[in-house]
Amino acid sequence: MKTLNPFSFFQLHPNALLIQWKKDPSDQLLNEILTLKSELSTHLKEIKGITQGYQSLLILFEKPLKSISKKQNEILTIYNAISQFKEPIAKHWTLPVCYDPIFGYDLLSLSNQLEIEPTKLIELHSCSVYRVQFIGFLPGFLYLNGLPKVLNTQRKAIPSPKVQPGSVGIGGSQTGIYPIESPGGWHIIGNTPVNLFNPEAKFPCFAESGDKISFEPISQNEYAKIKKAYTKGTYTLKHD
Amino acid sequence: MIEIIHPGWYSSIQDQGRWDTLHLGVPIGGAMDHEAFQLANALLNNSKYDAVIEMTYFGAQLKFHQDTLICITGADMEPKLNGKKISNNKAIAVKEGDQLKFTHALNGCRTYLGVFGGIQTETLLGSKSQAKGITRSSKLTKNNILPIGTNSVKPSRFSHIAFNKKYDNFNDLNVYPGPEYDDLPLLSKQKIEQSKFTVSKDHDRMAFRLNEKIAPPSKSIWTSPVIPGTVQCTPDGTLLILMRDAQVTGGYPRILQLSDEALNCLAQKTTSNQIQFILSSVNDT
Repeated sequence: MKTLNPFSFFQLHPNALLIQWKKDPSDQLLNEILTLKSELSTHLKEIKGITQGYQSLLILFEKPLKSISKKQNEILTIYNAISQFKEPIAKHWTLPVCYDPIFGYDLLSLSNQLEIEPTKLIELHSCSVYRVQFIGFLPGFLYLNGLPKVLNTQRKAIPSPKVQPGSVGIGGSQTGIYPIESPGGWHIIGNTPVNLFNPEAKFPCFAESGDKISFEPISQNEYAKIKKAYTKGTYTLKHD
Repeated sequence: MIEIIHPGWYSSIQDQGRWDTLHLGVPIGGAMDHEAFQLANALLNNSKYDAVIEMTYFGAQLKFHQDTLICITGADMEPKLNGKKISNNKAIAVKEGDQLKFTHALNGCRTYLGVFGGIQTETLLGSKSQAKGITRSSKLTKNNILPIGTNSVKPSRFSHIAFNKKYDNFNDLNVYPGPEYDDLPLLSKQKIEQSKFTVSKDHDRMAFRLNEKIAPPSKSIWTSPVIPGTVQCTPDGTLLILMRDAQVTGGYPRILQLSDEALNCLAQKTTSNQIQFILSSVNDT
């Protein structure tokens, strides 16, 4: 439902206008943000790009804004013309993950810390459906919500200097996959053989904001097979 | 073509950066000092999007494999063409076989080498800027061969500009209040306006960390959009100024935002350099 004054404006930079919602992140808020984002991309002129956070959109304009109030009214008019915040047409991806401790080197310590058996932990992680809120931090890094509450955990006290690409981790109330090698403070519980970001591909990242993700546990053998097929270009990621 | 005989301390190909893939989490990137980058292209009558070589602290040694025009801007790295000193901010003709050698930056720390028609390496996601996770290599290395524009059109007059910016003298950074500025305690706001801050030894194309800390904002935030020039404040009160290769979202409160001019100015600063924030409303600019 639409509310009066759903968001506030903040001019971050002469060329950048921030739209900030007051509500806490939720599925409905994500639908609202994605609908407005899509309408703004279509109707606003001279924009260089729009970035997204949990509760906000940042519009980057080609030129400094002459009148901020005029631009705000323009945005509010676009917002008010939206009849309904529908869930955007989204894909539901199934991402293969090998949870073997050879990849998920923090699985056993995390299992001890949370007092959940490793098999149960894998089941809890792979039976949930996650939703891509937005992509940030690194190219192709998906901010996912939907981690079961029992799997919430403190980040590692000392971040690992090198987390391998494809590593699946848990940190705080979030789960995610490292697309490229990076330092990281999340507990690593597995690895996907699928490449999350390919700058040379037509679609560099398979997913977009609003898509759903499930993890499918696979064995080391299957991991090797998929990795091989992926390199040859004969593997296609499943979605419905 | 240009051959890299020695890349110097940190040299990379840069242009205006990537703007079409923000939604995929790809950093904007591009030249750290946009003013110097644009000046190099302007003096060569290039397109403003043409790629240049950005050199940091200690410049490269290069060999030209074709005749062309070059223009050096930014910090003075005492460039020598075949052993003879040449000037910044001037279009200069070079011949096949010529060697260009830079030393360390005397004033500022980033120098730009523009060539007629631009560096013509591969475009990825709308830019030639070298970046980690995007291009095969994030910087130039020894023996790299860089294709450049072919100069069939020779200008009859060579452009130059009396641009003698003493980067060391520019310490004032114009900033606007960030979205979380008002969550700062009064003492921190006073410190920002009244004290000088120092660039720490942690500074690169992604971010500059400052030495002096302030009392952090009272509230935390959900991960939100950031842009180059956003000043974040970590829970222990450390200030991080995001630079061109910054991520597109961040989880720390955004207390300030640098003006474009301030961002270019900071790109010429290094460890121990002092800066002073000058706070003004974004609407006044």
